[in-house]
Amino acid sequence: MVGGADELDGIDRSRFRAMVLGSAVAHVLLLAFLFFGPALSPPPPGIPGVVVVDLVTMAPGLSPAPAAAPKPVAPKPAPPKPKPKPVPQAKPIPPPEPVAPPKPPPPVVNKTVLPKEAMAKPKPVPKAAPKPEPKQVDYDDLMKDLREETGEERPEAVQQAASGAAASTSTLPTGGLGGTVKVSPEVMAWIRDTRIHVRKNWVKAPGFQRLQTQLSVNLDAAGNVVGEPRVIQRSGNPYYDDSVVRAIQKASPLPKPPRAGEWPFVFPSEES
Amino acid sequence: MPFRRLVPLALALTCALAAPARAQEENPTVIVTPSGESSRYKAAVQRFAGDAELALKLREAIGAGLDFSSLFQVVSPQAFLGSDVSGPLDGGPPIACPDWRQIGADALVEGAVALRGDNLAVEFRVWDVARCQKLERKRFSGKRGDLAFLGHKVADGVVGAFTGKPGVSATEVAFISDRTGKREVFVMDVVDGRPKQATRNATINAFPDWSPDGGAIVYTSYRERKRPYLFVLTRGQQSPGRVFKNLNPGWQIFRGVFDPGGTKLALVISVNGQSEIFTIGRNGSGLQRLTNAPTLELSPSFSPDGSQIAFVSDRSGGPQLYVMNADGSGVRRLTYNGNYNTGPAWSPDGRWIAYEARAGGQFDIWLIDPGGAENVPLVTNPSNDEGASWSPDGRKLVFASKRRGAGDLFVIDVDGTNLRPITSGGRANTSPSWGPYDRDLR
Repeated sequence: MVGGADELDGIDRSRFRAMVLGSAVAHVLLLAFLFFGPALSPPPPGIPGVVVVDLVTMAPGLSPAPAAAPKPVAPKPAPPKPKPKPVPQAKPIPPPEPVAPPKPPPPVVNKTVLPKEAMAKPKPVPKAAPKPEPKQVDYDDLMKDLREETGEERPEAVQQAASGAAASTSTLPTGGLGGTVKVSPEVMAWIRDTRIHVRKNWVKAPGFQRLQTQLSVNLDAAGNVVGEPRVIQRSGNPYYDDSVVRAIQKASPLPKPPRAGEWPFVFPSEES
Repeated sequence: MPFRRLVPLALALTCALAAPARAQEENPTVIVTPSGESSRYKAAVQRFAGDAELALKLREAIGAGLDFSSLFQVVSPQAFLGSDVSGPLDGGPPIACPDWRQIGADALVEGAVALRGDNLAVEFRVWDVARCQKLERKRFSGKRGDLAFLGHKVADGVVGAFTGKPGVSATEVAFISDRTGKREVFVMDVVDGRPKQATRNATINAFPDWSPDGGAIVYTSYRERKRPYLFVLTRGQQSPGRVFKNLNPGWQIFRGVFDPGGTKLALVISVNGQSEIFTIGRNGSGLQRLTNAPTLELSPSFSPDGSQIAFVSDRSGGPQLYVMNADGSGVRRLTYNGNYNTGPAWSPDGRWIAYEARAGGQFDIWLIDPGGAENVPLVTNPSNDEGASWSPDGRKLVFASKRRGAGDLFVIDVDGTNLRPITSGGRANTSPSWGPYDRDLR
């Protein structure tokens, strides 16, 4: 140390200042690089984060819905009961004609099959009186909304956003490596509207099961899709991938986005 | 001091460079799940080049086939901004994709039709309008009377170009109808609804089943000695009539179904009053007994790879679905809901087994996955719905229902939508068997 002080005495002061400043700049640059570095590298393909979040938001006990399955509320078969009740009825006889069971009610108008009413999804539980304080909306809430959305009942957070009553932030997955980002209620509302809009333009043929495609969609400030959406993660079925690219293209212009740029879209083949 | 100014400048520069990338990275993901509502592509079908009258009829048939798919909706030609008539498929001007997009079309179907003598040829091309890409070009031929059939094949080709699996409007359904006063085998195109009578023996016929190549139908008939035996119908040639005559004449054969390879059949035979399941080569060789129980064993249905057979047994009391390996080993019970489940039909993609479940005195149609984990109702109605058979693409089923009275055949999508009758005005129409794809579409 002492030796250092002695050395200073022999150096021109302005040169010394320049060296210190130069060194400071170099450190700042290094720190900035370390901080922003990950953001500068391109996102890797395959986005486990989205899947993870999806799982988190599934209602407990829900098994992955069968893709082509009727929208049921099927009285799920009670897990295998080991033994059925012996039935006192007569044995069926190998039929020369289809078995005609004891017969039913008068012909009835098509009370069709799998009606939404019969197979309705669980009704959203009516929420208690609106809370006075702004609610912290997170991804679970969003997914819950997704499941209820055909009723067009606006989620609390969106209502708040629309009325300007609150300015809470939400946490959503990003297109990055399982990361999350805080977003405003306005962005939440845009995501919801966009999803509804794109969904209306998506034709998903029965038979596509357990598939998921991720796109990166370049949107301009007005919501126009710029160029062709890029497939970031393929589903393994090119026809499925094509169907979601078509959906985005046909949906253009999307609702006006909060900001222009690349937006990640994920299309799972099943409702979660 | 120059260096003093440099510091904030460098910082600002660093942030400016990083900010866009970071903003891009940070945009949250928009997750789009399917709606559960069926939605359809919009198809603009031009009048094909060639004879105008033929082309108009052909367009009508293509439209009917697309509509039957439940995946396409036809755009009215009155909405077209461009030409209503196809140009030449080779060397013509490029199509104006923006014009087709503007009217909401996802697909453009163009083509040509030509009649030479009695021979009809149809060629079509389908475009993905959104990307302005040609997806498929095919040519079909037939006789003049096949115009509607060829139109359905075009429609099925369009469906295949967009979804990877052709449509099924150019397929046939065999079934039993008593419209002549006796239970005879009939065959009809699934879209045009005009049944053609295939047997005329004025006795009882039952359980038609298509061979996988579409060339034959095996069915049960009481036409000889008033006992049930198996018979075969073939297309365009002398039908072989009764088959498997080499089997014990004391046995009654209640039913036969082809395996997916078409080389053997599973039979339900009554042996000493006890119904059992056997397999046998198509040529009558290699009879193998798969079940041997003092109970009823009925209704075999092969898995699509032929390695397993779903069947019905009442070994546990009431009739329930079971699955066994194709050699009779590894029997396991599949259904536990209710006390009366019959009529298994394995889907072509292996995903589901459709079956009839009796609930409250009526039969409904349910789907269960072969592992038994998922079990969901497909058709529920306060009348009997039974005898489900899968379309070759696995997207639809045909079944018999008495909801309109005596009994008609209905088609429904596997997701429970798009129910439609395909027979009408008859008496009892039962026991449908959906035939395979036309060979041009396989």
